[in-house]
Amino acid sequence: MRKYWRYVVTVMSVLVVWQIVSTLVGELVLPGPMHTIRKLASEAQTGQYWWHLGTSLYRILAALVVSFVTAVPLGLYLGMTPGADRYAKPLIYLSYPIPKIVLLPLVLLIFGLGDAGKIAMLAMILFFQLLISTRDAARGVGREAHYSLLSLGGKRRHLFMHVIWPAGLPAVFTALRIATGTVVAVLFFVESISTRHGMGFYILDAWGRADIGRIFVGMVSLAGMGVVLYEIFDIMERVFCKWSRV
Amino acid sequence: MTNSLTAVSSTELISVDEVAKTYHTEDTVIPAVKPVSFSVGTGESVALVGPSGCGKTTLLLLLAGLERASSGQVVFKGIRYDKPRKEIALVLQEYGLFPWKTVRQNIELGLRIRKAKIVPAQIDAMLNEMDIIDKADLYPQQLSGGQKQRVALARTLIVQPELLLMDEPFAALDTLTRERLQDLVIDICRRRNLGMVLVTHTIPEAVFLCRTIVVMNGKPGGIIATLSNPCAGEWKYRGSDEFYAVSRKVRTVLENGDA
Repeated sequence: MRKYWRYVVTVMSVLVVWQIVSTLVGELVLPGPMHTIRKLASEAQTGQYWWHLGTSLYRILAALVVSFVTAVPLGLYLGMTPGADRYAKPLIYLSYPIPKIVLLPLVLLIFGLGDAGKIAMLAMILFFQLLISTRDAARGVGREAHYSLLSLGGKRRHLFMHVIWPAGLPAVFTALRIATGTVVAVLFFVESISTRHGMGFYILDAWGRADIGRIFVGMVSLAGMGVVLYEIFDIMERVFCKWSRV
Repeated sequence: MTNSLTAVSSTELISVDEVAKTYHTEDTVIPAVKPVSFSVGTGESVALVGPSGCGKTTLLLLLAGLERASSGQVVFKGIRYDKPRKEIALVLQEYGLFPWKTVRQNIELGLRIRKAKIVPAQIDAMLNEMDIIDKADLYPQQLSGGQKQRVALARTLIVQPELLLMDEPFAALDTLTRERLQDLVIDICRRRNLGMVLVTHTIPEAVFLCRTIVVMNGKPGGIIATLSNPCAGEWKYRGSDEFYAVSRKVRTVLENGDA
């Protein structure tokens, strides 16, 4: 319960600051929170708003699933197989620092202008964060844990199942939280190209119409989407990594 | 003074014949253990004593089948091996418990891996024997050092080993907890007729627990002396004149000897 109160206090503080700044610079430049909330309430009554929101959420969730099922097993494998990691490392370190957004034209060329291209772009950003975090977490599992399991008769699959996977899981959630922020930001870019759906398009469309109120509705919606995702990750971590919180 | 660790009838469990270990990295060769030989029978207890870096732990890992000897052979009941065996259990200094598993899950792990039937009553009996039944649903990080080591012991004993290997198991514990656990280990080995190899750099611990004291020294490490300590394991032995005499003897060997 206390956690929700903290949310209320934080949101109220932001609203107060927002209102003060809005009053200072004028509602035409920066609509106040009450104006934005009223606008949000009216937009929420239209099916189109939910269609935009749903499309963005679908793209992010699909990217999360794709990156999770590719990066996490690969990261864990590289973490527990130093020989393979030695070969993969140069490739990862060469490609990781490249800002993925510059690859957008290439990705759209390969995967098309539809949802697949956009999901691939988001998944690529998530992929590297997840891969490196899980690989490092798996690599960080001490020799003692290996010895302990092997001396109990464990084989490589037991090591993966009972040691590497659970040891890497908190790092996976941390990576998901960090990467989600970037992904929501990149979502705005990818939804500005050849689409008429998604919150990115919604904001750009409002910008084109000089509808400042709708721009803020879009921004608040993206922030809300981030909060929901973070909370989902928190709940999942509480369920699957109960041990890390005792 | 009786020797409480003496087996009813001791048969050879493990034999180390001229075993040496050298580590090879990309550009260096690191000799860790010179050729060494000794054996352990059922109900017998052997301590490997020596300063840090003399190869005690490496030797223990060779016995556990977790490292492969560069030369020589390790034989269990006449069978040469270089992989972990179900009859040989290992207890580590840092307990080797998995923080994501509860005490009960940690103890069950060996059975689960070996696809043995998990009987809750059997786990409860082990928890009772180790006096940690009330900790069954806690995670290792919620336990004290002594309790963690009891869990580690329970996890190795549940799979009914014949030889217990221990790598400085009490090093991180306070004196009283250490002594209580030493008594527990003696009791366990006596009742189950277990062979034991203990790695320690604490001379009194080796002298109190083990009938044979193998003193190692040098880099690469080698055996510089093997001392008989027939009174080990008797509760009254701790603090007796004989205990101090043997401890002094081990110390003298360590100070003067070189492999």
